[in-house]
Amino acid sequence: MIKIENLNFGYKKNQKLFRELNLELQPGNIYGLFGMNGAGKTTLLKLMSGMLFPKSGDCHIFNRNVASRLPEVLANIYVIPEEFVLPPVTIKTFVELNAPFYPRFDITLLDKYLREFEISNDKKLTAYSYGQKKKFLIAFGLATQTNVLLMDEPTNGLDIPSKSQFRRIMAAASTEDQCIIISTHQVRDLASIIDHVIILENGKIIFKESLMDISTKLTFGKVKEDTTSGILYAEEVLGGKAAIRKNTGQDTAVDLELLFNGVIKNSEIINNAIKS
Amino acid sequence: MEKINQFSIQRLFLLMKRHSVMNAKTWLIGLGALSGILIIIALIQSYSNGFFDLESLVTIGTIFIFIGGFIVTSAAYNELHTPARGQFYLILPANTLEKLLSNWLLSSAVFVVVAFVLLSVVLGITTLLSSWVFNTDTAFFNPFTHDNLENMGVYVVVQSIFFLGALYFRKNNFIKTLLSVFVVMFGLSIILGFLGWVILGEFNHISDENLPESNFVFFTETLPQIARIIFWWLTAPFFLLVSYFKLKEREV
Amino acid sequence: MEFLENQPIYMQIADNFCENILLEKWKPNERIPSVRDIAITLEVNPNTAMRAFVYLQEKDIIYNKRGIGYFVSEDGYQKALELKRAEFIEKDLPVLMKTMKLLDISCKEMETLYKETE
Repeated sequence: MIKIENLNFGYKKNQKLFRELNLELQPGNIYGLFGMNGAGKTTLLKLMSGMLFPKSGDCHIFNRNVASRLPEVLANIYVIPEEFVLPPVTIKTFVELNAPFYPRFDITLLDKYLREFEISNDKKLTAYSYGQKKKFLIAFGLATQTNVLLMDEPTNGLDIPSKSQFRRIMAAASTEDQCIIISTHQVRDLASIIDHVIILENGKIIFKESLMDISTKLTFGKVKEDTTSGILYAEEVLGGKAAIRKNTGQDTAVDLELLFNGVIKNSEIINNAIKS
Repeated sequence: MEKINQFSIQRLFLLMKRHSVMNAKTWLIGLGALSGILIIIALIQSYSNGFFDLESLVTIGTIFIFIGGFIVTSAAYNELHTPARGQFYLILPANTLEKLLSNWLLSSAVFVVVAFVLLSVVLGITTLLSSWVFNTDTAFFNPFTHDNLENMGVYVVVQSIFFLGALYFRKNNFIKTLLSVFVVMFGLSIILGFLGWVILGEFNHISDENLPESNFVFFTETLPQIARIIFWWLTAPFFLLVSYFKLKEREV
Repeated sequence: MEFLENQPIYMQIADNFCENILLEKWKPNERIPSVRDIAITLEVNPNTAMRAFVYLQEKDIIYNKRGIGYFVSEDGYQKALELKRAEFIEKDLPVLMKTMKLLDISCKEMETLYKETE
């Protein structure tokens, strides 16, 4: 559905953020896009939505170049940015002005999500708090029913109950023909609703696996300090080591933070263990 | 799937509606303020002159329309230039051409028609008010005279320069466009002056005495004709075309 | 449902299903909530929830009627019991035994304690 091929990009001429980046994403999945600060997560989302143009290579959605900005492509993408300013109009006006551009927009869905998020519908958008605005945008984005939904740090600024509402809404809204990408640092907020992990580092995608494959090939857990056999990556924790090992029969929960650190430290070891 | 990419009048109207609703407040305040100023000037004039001076009021009103229109035009893409808002405009599913024409139509044709209609109404009210208060004769403004229609045309042509400025600059578009126009005009007049001096040599002033017959026709008829064609038919399309590419290449 | 740290989410969902069957909240041939419903209530990815359904279907504890939904198998109770017993003996019992040894609790003592809770 989304296909990025040999993409090169840099904000300055001799400073390359992405080098020959390749990525292919399938519908029916919620991808978690992780990376260190400055790895380029937000930039990648902007390239995927045609807000930025690659220096070379390209990004396709349904075999259409995103940089063409054809209505056909744009009508299939919605972006929920991390930083945004909404116009000083009511929700009703905003919907009236923007929704008609999206052929599959569904007002009943919007109402449902706004109810779930407990957003009343009577104020100007500028009068809402950051978290409420964000929830409105998430609800609007989901109601457009675009095939591609890009979310940049969607849980930033959401209070504790809202994070839970967000996960429920995502579980309810994601469909078979939809590809959702969530870029985030908030691993714990979103671990349960993503099904694929993408890790961006040094201008490349260094890791891209389904949680199913990760959990069948790797185990995560505490081991004694002196254990060394079979350890792919380990971190000191109270009373032992938190380790990633090859799965020898017992599925464990995927510790995303541990996985992230392990992949950043040495992606080859982890990737080989999953591929084997 | 292909049909959605073709130019769509419906989306054009949607874009115009979207832009109008989001800017309506600013526009109304601006038009209201200018109308108010014009009414005050008219009443002061009637009071001191003892008659309703329609002609000078039309001139002032037309100047207001031009300056106001260029300012409105300069702000046509403010949404795009605010990073936290521009991203929504860029991903809005519409053609570049639709996004160009929607804002252009609003700030050119739609604006100038609305502005002249408003001017007629304001002047109509003022002349009645003046005759009632100061006993002056009433005079009504007809926006459809040749001069006024030509003024509207001039507005639409010059406006296209400010339209490009609205896309080209990210801040203070009006002032920057104005300055750029001055710089270009200044440069152009120096070049033309120099060229004229080189070509014409000793003919410092053009008159039928020191110009051969064919040259005379060229300078008094052909050249102005060419200038007219360039101004009326090429200026606006040229600036719109450049604007189109500017918008197409625009990144967040 | 709070997720325990060390078990994959789909296994925890499957456990929860087995518990419902063993407590007879869900009876044989009764329809159980849909994948989507489970995903929403537990705030998990529908694909993850689906995995729990597939897992239990493989163990013959639930079955799928195309286009209608999932149902508890005729012998779902028996199958769930077998599965959970095997799991207990394999996973939890060794830990329990180890702790008993460590704290010097005899099987006799355990028996009395067990009867007390009855």
